[in-house]
Amino acid sequence: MIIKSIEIVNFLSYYEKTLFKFDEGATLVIGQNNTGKSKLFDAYNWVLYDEAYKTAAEEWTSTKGWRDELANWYAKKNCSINSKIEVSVCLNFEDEESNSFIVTREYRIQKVNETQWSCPSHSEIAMTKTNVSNYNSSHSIGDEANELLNRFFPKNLSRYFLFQGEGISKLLRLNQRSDFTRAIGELSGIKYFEKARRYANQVYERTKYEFENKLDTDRTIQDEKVKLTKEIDGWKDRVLDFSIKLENEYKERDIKQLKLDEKVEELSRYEECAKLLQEIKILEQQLDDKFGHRRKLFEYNRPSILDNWMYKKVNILFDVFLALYRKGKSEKKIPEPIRQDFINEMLEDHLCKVCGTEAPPNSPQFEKIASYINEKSLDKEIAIINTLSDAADSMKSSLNEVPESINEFHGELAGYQSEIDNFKNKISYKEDELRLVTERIEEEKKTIINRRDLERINLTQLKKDRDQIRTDLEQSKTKIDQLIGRSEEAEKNLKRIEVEYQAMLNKSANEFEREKMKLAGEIRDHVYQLHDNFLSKLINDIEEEANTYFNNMTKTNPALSGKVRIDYNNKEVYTIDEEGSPMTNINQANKVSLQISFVAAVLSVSNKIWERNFPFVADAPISALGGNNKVSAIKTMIDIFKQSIIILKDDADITKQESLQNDQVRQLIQKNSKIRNAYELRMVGEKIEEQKTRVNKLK
Amino acid sequence: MIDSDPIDDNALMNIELDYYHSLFDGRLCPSQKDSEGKKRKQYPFQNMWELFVYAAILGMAQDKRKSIEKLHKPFRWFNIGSRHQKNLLILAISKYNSLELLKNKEELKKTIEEYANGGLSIINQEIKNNPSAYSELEILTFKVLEDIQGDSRA
Repeated sequence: MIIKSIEIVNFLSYYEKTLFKFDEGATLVIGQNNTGKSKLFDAYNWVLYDEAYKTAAEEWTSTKGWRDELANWYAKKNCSINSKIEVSVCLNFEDEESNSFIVTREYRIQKVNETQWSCPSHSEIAMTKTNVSNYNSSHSIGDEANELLNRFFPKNLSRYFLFQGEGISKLLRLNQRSDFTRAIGELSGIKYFEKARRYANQVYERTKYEFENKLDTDRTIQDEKVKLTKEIDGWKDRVLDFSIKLENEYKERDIKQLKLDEKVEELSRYEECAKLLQEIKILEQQLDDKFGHRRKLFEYNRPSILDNWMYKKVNILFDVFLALYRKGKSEKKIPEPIRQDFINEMLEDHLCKVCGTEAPPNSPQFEKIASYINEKSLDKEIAIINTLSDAADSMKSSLNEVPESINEFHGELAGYQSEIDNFKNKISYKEDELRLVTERIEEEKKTIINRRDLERINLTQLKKDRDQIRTDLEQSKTKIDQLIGRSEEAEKNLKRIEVEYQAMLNKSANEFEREKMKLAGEIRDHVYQLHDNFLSKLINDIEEEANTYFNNMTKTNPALSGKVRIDYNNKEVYTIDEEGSPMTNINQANKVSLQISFVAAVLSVSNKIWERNFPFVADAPISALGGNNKVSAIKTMIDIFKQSIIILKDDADITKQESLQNDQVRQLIQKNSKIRNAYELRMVGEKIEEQKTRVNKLK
Repeated sequence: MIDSDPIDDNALMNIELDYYHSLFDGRLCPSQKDSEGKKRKQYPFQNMWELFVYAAILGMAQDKRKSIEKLHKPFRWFNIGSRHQKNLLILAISKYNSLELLKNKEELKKTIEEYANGGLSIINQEIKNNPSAYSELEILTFKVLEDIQGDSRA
């Protein structure tokens, strides 16, 4: 079978008409939280079975009684009083012979006032078949349509081909009334064997009753018959009692196992968060250090940079000063300075060392030289002007080019900047990882979690809780072992008495009743044998198929290992190692692969028995996986099923182009030729009552 | 004749009181009693004299001389680094266009102070137009750097 399209009108988040088209091969539908992904999955369940997922109750329920909640909010808001809204989903599929089928489920609600709606008690279903060879159409409605639909999409198998990631653990439960038991009941007509078994047993019990109620003339035999019958009834009661207790204990164990799985997953998410938070904190500290270094670099270099800049602005004024200086010099207004020690030396030597004239004490020459002593003011003025001139010269040369220190500053700054950018990138990458994990927790807890909440999480308490559940589970398993032991003991006793009974039986004189009962017993045993052989073959087939898929996954992913084991006696599905021992503490990728292999195997065996390919529609099948494991799991699903429609959470940050380009799922969509269609869902509208899903076709 | 330093080391430098409040006192540089709040190095100017020198040069560069109305004397001439002292003298002489200014100590000091006042009025206006113009040390440094490199490329 191939689903060709689904058309959704005013159903949940889908306003007016929305059409998704599909082909053989894979279709990926991606969207962020609350964009209409699960509503699309609801649309399938509703059109086929009149069911939708009730979040508060966490289960699929008939929409009877809450049908008005299915109508789109925006359509309801826009509807005027006494007007009606049509809510419908129309599914178009083809069977193996390419005959076309259109199934439509619809109803109308009428607005009574702003808060009240008049809603019909049931939705209407119609199915039309168009024959591929002659285009003849046949129509059916109501129960007839439902019955026909069930032949194509059997309800008992629905959890496998309409696969919801959230409920995957339930699919692996093998106890009575579980999805698996219902599914294999549907498969290969095993339900008929079960019926035959029941009839054969009834016939045997009737003949036994007749035999036991006909008095034997021999008093000893009669007494023995009564005694053994009582004993057999007693042991049978015990065996039945144990089997009921065992069944209940299996359920208990499954619930505890589920709780443990959830707790382990919760803990692993919080541990991942704690690890990421720690890494982010270290990076933030390192980033702060780098900012500190950069700030110090600025503080250190700022004065010289500012100086250079300031004086460049008045460069010309230094030229003016130097021109004034040179003019003063040329006009002799600035005399050459004469050093005081040089004058004293001339006075001591009685000689003018400027012109070579002798200068004996008290001579006019001596007096002239002496007059220069203490001419400090002249010295001072010349010294100041010369100092300023030197300063102006030095400024001029330093202003002509960018100082080396600024170039060095630039180099160091670029170094720090690249380190800062690097740390920022690392932090942003880690924050993205943290966001993904947090979003998964938010989805599970249905609450918003901020960083402070994560920092307050008490991992020790969570570990204690997990250990407590683990202890409870171990106790439950011990109890099961005990019950099995006691049950086997009771069966052994029953068998022993039955042998005694057989011996007594042969001594009975009531030949007709005796032979009749023996014959009925043999028939019953054969029918039981047939049922068991058939069931065991079916389980073997599913296990074999599951291992084929699992091997394909382990071959391409080194993180996966082991073999799938369907332990129908212990009502468990798990992986075993090379020695055949159950593997404990398997990683998340292994667990998801096991689950997908098992689900695929059930469908694959169904396909063979029913001689048709069930389309695989999956909502968040791998929500627990990320990165390469996620892409690898998607590829596996694409390869396994003739048609798969996979609805996934979009992990990219849609506000960043870079994030969209690097998104592995988008890259897979573009590169994988088996993905024929891809859609992206976005929610538009600010307020809840204005929100509606918008669909973008990606491929 | 110059018979002593052009400006006495102990001379108190005058600035406009209003600018003292709006630009100096813990705004662009630490206040006199600044011991808390921002660290000294986080101000665009770590000392009052640095802002004064910057303002004086800005005033001279833009030829904005402005007389001071209400005097305030927050620091002394010797507080200014000697290299900047020399440069301020050179620039004042250039503006006066005569070495003779060195002989008129009062006018020399006044010239420097009034150009600084002109520069302060420019800064004041800049901050009025853009309150964050001088707030970030790194931004200010980058602004200055761009100017330097722009000039050197030109």
